[in-house]
Amino acid sequence: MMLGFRLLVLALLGFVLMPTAVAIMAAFDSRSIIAFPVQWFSLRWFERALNYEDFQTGFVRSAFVAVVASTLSVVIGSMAAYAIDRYSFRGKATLEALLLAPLAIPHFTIGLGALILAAQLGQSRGWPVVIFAHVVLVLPFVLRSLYVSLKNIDPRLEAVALSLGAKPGRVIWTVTLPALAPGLAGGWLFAAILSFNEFTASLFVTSHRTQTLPVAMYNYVREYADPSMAAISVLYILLTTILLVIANRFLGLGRILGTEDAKH
Amino acid sequence: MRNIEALRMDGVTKRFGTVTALHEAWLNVQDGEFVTLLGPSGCGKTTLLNLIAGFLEADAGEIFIGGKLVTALPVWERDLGMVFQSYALFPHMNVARNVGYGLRARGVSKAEEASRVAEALALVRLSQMADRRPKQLSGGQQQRVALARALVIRPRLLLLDEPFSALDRNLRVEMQMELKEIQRSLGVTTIFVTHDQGEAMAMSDRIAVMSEGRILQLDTPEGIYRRPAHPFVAGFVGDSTVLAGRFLDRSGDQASVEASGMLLTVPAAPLDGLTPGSAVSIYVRPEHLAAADKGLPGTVISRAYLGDRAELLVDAGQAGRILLRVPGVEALSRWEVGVSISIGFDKAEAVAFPD
Repeated sequence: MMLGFRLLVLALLGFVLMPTAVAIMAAFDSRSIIAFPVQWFSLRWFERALNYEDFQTGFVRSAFVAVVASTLSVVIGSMAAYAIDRYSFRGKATLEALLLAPLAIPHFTIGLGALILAAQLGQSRGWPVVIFAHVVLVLPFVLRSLYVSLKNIDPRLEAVALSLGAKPGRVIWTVTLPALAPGLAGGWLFAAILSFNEFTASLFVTSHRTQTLPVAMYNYVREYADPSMAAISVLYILLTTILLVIANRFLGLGRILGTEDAKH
Repeated sequence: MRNIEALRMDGVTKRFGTVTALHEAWLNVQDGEFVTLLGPSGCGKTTLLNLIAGFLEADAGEIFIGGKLVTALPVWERDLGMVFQSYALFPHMNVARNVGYGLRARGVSKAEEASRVAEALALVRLSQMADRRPKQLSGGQQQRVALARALVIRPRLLLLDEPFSALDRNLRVEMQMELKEIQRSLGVTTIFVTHDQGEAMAMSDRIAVMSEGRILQLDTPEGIYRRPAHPFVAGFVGDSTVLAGRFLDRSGDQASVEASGMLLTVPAAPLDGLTPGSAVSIYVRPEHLAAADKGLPGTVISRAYLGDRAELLVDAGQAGRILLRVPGVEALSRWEVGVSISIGFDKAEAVAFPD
């Protein structure tokens, strides 16, 4: 019984991790085709990936978009989360459902919509439309993480601060925001990772001048079939893992993402 | 010197939709007084506290704090100190920063803040803990920090919302005595909210017993216990047995009533305007009843020995079941379950209310 259960767990893990494992291994193969199993160990595809110009500029652009889009969505998201949590107003339920149910809307729809809007406004495919699309995409996730953080703050903290003579603005600045800081940082990081990985919508809204790393990778694959893709995958996983480990270490990601109960 | 009322509420009413949470509350609290709002959950005591604090807006009536009209004043201008059951310490500040919060909000200088915080921490015996984070403190210590934070601003009113309910019993009693001592030494006017009658009796100068949004009686602990003005008060505070009886007559401020052939003297006020022969409910305290040679006959049906005393439940036939509190030694030697007993009402400080 126990053995059967363990085998089942192992099989599941294998099933989930297999594609990643294969891609990682392929990155270390010296041959010019993506193949499995690995035959000759080499780091040449890492070198190629790191030196390829489109990847370099793509990385910088992706980082830029991720930082700007996640910062904007944290600012917008925190205000929206505060409003939804603390006030009741007309259309609140609709807004809540819309903002908290991102899976219902496909990314390409948002990309396409942003493209049409930009054209209508006489904007070419510049940075504003890329950032706009990314903000729309990550906002629900940011909002959800901030909403959970806000829910976990004892409203009496604010009540006490008011009773001690602090005006509402001062209370937000000295009590609400500091208590919300882990949620803000976690939401920001979550948004940045999502934005950095985003491809579908980006494909619609980027031009050659604004192409992000995932789009650059897509364009690369159309021309070449060598393992530098696999090498980039490894770098991606490494970078994201490091960020998540740091975040978990300092912020307690489980609590922010609402997968763990708040401890009082 | 004229004595200014620390708090006055003139007919304050609060409605939530169609529900009236507070019906015309009238309340006068003297400077330095300790007044408790006592009642079961949902009785309106927390609503009343939130109206005083300014977290809720009154639908009718006026509130004065220290003689100043505050009905429309926001919370932060009411000059209050509040302590909640959940402590509500700011988790990102150490103890000293927590205590100094109200001083910083008032723009007090750094030097004065430091000395007043030290003074307040000494008052609650936590000087050693100034650099700790709230999470590093025990529940009792956190509550003392919350108290220091409320007192350091020298508030016009100290508002306490069930501050000890989260503490275990021994610590609760200790904290009650400590709070009472601090309150007396500072002379700070205090409004205390609780559902715990023992806490209310032990600490208060006066108690306002509340039920269903009304203040039923505002009196000293002794007055509440010995001269309850409302059947709810008689039933809620302390133990009592209710006997069905008849009103006989009144003379002055005393009245006589009869239950199962026993004559009892009760305060006349609650029976105003009643015609002789009317049905009344008579409340008697278990400690005022005793075994007697002549009295209401019955049978002991249960005995709970509590050491210094014991509680006997007596089946008195038509009169129903009556609770007696007798000395523990006497209960062990004489009152086995099943033996006959006569209950004497000579010392019963009974009260009666019309049915």
